[in-house]
Amino acid sequence: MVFSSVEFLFYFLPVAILLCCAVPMKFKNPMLALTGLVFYAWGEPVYVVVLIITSIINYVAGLLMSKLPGKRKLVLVLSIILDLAILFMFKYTSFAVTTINSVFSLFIPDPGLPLPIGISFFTFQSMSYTIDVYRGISKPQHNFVSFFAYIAMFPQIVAGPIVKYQDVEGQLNQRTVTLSKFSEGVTIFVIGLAKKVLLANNIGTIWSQVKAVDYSEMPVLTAWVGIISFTFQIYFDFSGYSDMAIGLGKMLGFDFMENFNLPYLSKSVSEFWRRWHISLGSWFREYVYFPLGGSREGTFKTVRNLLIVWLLTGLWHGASWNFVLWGLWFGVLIVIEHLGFSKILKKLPKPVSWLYTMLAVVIGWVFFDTDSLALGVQYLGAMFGAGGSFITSQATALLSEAAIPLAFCLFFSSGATGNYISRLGGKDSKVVMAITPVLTAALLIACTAYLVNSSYNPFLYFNF
Amino acid sequence: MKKAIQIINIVVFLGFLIVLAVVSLVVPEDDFSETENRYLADMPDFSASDWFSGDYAEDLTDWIDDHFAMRTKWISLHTSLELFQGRSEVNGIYIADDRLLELTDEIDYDVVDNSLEAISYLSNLSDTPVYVMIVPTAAEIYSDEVDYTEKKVSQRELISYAYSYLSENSSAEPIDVYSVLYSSREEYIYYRTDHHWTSTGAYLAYISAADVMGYTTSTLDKFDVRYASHSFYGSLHSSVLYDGIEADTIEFYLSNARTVSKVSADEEGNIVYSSVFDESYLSRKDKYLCYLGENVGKTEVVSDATGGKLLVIKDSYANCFVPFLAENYSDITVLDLRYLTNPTASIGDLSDYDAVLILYNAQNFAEDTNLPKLKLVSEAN
Repeated sequence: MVFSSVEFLFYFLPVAILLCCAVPMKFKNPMLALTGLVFYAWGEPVYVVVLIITSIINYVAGLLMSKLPGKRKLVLVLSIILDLAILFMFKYTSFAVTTINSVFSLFIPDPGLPLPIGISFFTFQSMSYTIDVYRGISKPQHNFVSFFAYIAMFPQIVAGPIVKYQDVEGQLNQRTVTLSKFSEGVTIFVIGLAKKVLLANNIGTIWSQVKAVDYSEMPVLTAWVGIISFTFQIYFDFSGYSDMAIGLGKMLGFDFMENFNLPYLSKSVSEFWRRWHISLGSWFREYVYFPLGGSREGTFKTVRNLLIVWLLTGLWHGASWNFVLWGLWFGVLIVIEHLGFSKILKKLPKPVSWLYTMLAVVIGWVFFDTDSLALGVQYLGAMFGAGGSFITSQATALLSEAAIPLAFCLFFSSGATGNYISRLGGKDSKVVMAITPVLTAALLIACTAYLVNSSYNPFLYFNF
Repeated sequence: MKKAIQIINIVVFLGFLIVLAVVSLVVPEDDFSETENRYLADMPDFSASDWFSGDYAEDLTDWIDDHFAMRTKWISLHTSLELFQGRSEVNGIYIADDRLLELTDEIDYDVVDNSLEAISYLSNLSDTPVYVMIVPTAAEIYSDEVDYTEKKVSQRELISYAYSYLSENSSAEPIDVYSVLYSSREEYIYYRTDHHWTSTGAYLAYISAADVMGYTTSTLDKFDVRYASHSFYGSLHSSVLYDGIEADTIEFYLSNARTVSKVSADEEGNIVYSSVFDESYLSRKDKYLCYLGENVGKTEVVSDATGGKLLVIKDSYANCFVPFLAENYSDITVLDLRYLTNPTASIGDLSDYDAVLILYNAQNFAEDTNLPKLKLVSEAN
C-alpha cells in the first residue's frame, strides 16, 4: 500500500490510527506490529516473509548478545552478513550477474527476482538495532512483537525515514499521544500528501514526457525544463513521503527525525547532503564513516572513507552503474570540497556557490533517473547543445505547459512559506493557528480529487 | 483557543476521511456509471491465489476507486484544478476554447499495413467495387486549436498513405472527405463533447461520395431535420466531466422521400422493422446511440430506394452516415468487425452486393486490428 492512494487514506489510515490510539500501552506495540504487517502484506503478499525473516535474524542477534557476552562480536558479524546476504540476493544479484557476464563473456542466467518493496529501508533499520545493542547504546528488545513493531510500523516501512533504534527505543516502550502532537501530525501529514499528490505528480508529468523522447535531437531548453522538473519531482515526492511518515508517527506518539531541510538552498554539495535524506546520511555516518575512522586519521584515509561511503550511498539507491556513478559523483565533489574547495565556496558570492551546488545536483539527477549510462551521457549532451538546437516551438510549448507547476515548486522549495509564517508571528500565532484547519480541509479536498481520478501517481522508490 | 483549534484540525482530518469512507460503503453501488459512460469495477471475490499474486489487492483498489463517494464531483474538481494550473490536456482529452478533442495517438504503420492488405485482398476477390472512406476526426480538423505541437500526429498523412497504397495495390476506390470537412470546419460537423461527427458532417461526406460511388444525392429539401436533443454530453465529456463546453445537439435527418427501417429480430425471432433513429436512447447519457442503436456485429437497413445491395464494413462513425445511404440503396448490410470473429457468414456471397463501403474514422483505422479478419472471406462464398 502506498500513502497516496484512496485505500490507504480513507480506509487503512483512520482504522489503524484509531486502533493504535485507542488501545492501552500494553497493546500498542502489538497493534502497531499487526497494522504494519497488514500494510506491508497488502502490497507484498509473498515478500512479507522476507520482512519477517530479517526481523527474526536481528531480534535473535540482540538476544544472543545479552545471553552470550563473550560472543558478541561473532553474533554481530553473523547478523550483518545475513542481513546483507538477503539484501544482496534480492537487490544486487541481477546487477552482479550481468556485470560478471559482460566482463568475462559468460552466460550465467539472471534469476530476475523482483525487489521486495522497502527492503533497503528495513534492512538498514534492522542493522541499526543490532549495532546499537552491540555498542551498548541500546538494550536488547526481549519482546519480539515490540521489535517487529519497530521494523514494520507502517509510517516508515516502504520509504523511510530510516529510524535508528537508539532514537525510538524510549518511545517504543512508552509513548503518549497528546492533542497538540496529534494535531501537529495531521498538519505535517497533509502537507506531505499535498507535496506528493499536488506538486510532485504534476511536475512529474512534464519529466515523463521529456524522458520518453529521443535525446539525440533534443533542444537545450527541453532538456533543462525536463531535468529541472525531475529535480522538483524527486524532492517533493521524497520529502512529501517523509513528511507523511513523520506526521503519522506523531499521530502514533513517535517523534521521527526530520528527513529534508530545504536542500535546494544549499551552497555546497556537503551542505546539500546534510539537508537531503538526512536519516540515510546519518546512518552512513554513524555505522560506516565513523567506524572506518571518519576524518581523524589523515587525508588519505579520509578521502578513502568518503569515497567508500558515497559508493555505498549510490548503490543503496539502486543496483546499476547509473547509481554507482551518481554516488561517486557526489563523493568526488565532497572530497574536493573537503580538500579546500569549501573554503573558497564560502568566500564566493552566495548565488555563485548556490549555482555550483545546484548544477552538481541537477547533473546528478540526470544519471539518477535515465535508464543507462549511455542515455545519461546523451541526455547530459542535450543539456549542453548536442541536440543541435537551443529552442524550438515544441520546447516553448513544453515550457508554457510547465510554467505554473514550476512556479509553485520553486516557491515551495525556497523556504518562502517558513519565512512568511515567522513574519506572521510563528506557528503559535493566532493567524497561523486559525489557518491550520482550513489548510487541512483545502489540501485534503484537492488531493482527494487527484487521487480519485488516479491518473499519474508513480511510486519512485522501488529501486531503493 | 489553541486547544480548540487543535481539536478542530483533528476533527476536520479524521472526519473528512471517515465520513467519505462510510458514505462510499453505505451508499448502494451502481454497476454502470451513466455520467462516465462505463462499467464500474466489481467487488472481487477473495481467493488465496488471487491474494498471493497481488490481483486481489489490485482489484479491490479498483473497486474502492470506482465506488468512491461523489466520484464524478471529484473528477470535475480534478479537471478544474488542472485547468487552473494552465493544463489543457486532462485524462487524454484536450480542452480547447469551445470544444473537447481526443488527441490522435502515435500511429503504428504495421497495423495500418495489415488492414490495407486485407482491404486489397477483399477488393480483388470479386467484381463488386470496394470503396474506402477514412474520415478525419475533430482532432485533425481543429488541430490548430491545440497548443501541444509535439503531440500532433497527422491524420492527413495517414489518409494519403492509405489511399495511395490502395490505388497502387488494389482495385479499391478511395473516397476523399478530408477537403470538404476541412473547408466546412466553421459549421457544426463534429460534436463538441463527443468523439463522433454530426449528421451534418456525415451529410457532407454523403454528397462528396456520390461521384465515386455513382449515386444521385438527395438534396437537403428531401429531409426534415429534427433537433432531437440539445443536451447531449458525449464521450469526451465523460472523460473529464468538464461543464465549460456547450452541450451538443442530436439531429435526425428524417427522409421525406424514402421509408427507411432498421431490421432486427425480437426475442421470439420475428423480424421487426424500426426507425434508424432510436429515440429511446435520448434519455441516456450516450445519445449517439440513437443512430442505429448499440454497436453490434451485424445490422440491416432496408428502404424503398431503387439502388441495390450495399455492404458496409465500419466503425461507429458510419452509424449516422448509413441513413443517408438508404436514400440510394435498398438493402444495406452493416458489419462491425469488432463484434464478429469471422465475417464470412454475415457477408454471404460477396458478388451478390452491388458495392462494398469500408468506413472508419482515421484514429480507429490506425488502431483497429480487426480488418485483417476480411482475409477469412473466401472466393467460394
